[in-house]
Amino acid sequence: MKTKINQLISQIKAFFQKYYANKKIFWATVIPVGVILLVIILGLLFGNRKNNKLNIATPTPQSQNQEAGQQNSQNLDPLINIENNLNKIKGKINDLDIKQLPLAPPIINYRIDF
Amino acid sequence: METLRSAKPPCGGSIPPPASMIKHFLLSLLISVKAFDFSQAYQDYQYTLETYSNSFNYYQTARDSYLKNPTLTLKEEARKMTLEMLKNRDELMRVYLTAIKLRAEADVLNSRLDSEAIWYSNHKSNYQNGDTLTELFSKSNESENRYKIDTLPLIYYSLSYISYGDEVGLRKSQEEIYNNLKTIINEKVSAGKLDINPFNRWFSDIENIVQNLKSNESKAQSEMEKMFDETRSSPIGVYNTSLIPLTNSVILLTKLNNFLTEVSASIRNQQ
Repeated sequence: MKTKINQLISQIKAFFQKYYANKKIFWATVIPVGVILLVIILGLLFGNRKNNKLNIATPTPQSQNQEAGQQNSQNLDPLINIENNLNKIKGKINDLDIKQLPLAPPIINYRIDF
Repeated sequence: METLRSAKPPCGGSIPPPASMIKHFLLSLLISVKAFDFSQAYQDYQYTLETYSNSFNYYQTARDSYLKNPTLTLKEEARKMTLEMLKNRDELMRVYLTAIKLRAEADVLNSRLDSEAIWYSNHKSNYQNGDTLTELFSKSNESENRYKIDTLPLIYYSLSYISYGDEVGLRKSQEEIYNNLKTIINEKVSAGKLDINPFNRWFSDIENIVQNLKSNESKAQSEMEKMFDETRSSPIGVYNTSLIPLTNSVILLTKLNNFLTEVSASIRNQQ
């Protein structure tokens, strides 16, 4: 058994020695393999991670479901939307700056001759 | 710098992998080249205003020094400071007009504000490093005339227009809400869920306010149109007059908003 293993190892060694000895075959093999490995690495780094995720739904806590349900019913109620919009408008009216003071013309002194 | 050095990832967090860092860097680059908006334009204006103010102070100091002691060296120093200040002044006007344009976001103003900003940009490039003081004063007069005759009326017209546009926008939003409320009321009345009283009377009160708002908008608009009339008093005078109806409208807009809120609450209470 040991002799068989030793024979196999020596055969493998001989193969690699031949392989490294012939530089044309060595580079012709190493370059495409290197490129493929590089593409795989870049794919893993920059690829769309969503594809790698399992499509298993995460269990949602009960309280969050209830909140979502309440929000949905609120969105369905047109009066709540209207009241929200009216509140936003109220804020905008309060913020109205009719004189546009921050944009008032800069003070420029044109009398510069001496 | 100290805070940057002491910055550490939060507890339990891991150092981001190189891919995330590259993505973050690319995203930052994308954000930095996003569209130039009013907020950025206003920051530019503030910065340019400060630059102009500083250069005006240097100019004043150099001029006073020369007037006290009129040597050739001090005259040359005053000339250099005058040149720098005048270039900054044109740049200030260009940046200011751009900020107004981005705040107004109005097609009617865009081309006029653009061409005005271009005038200052071109005029700034007319200043030469070798210009004498007399040449600088002459070129400064060109800017002054442009400012008084063309730029100032356009600035005040634009400022009025911004406020006018803000109010028209709010009134239209309120009208849209009013129409939605009317639709809800009519549907519920048809379904027998709501009584048309007192909503039918409230409608006329609301419509009166809308009419008054529109009337104020027309008054403001007709005043604003006088801005480019050669017989007008002064741009600031026209501007102040155009703001009177717009100022009166603020009370009406608040009133209308309160009425609409009341209508909405009444629908809810009657249901």
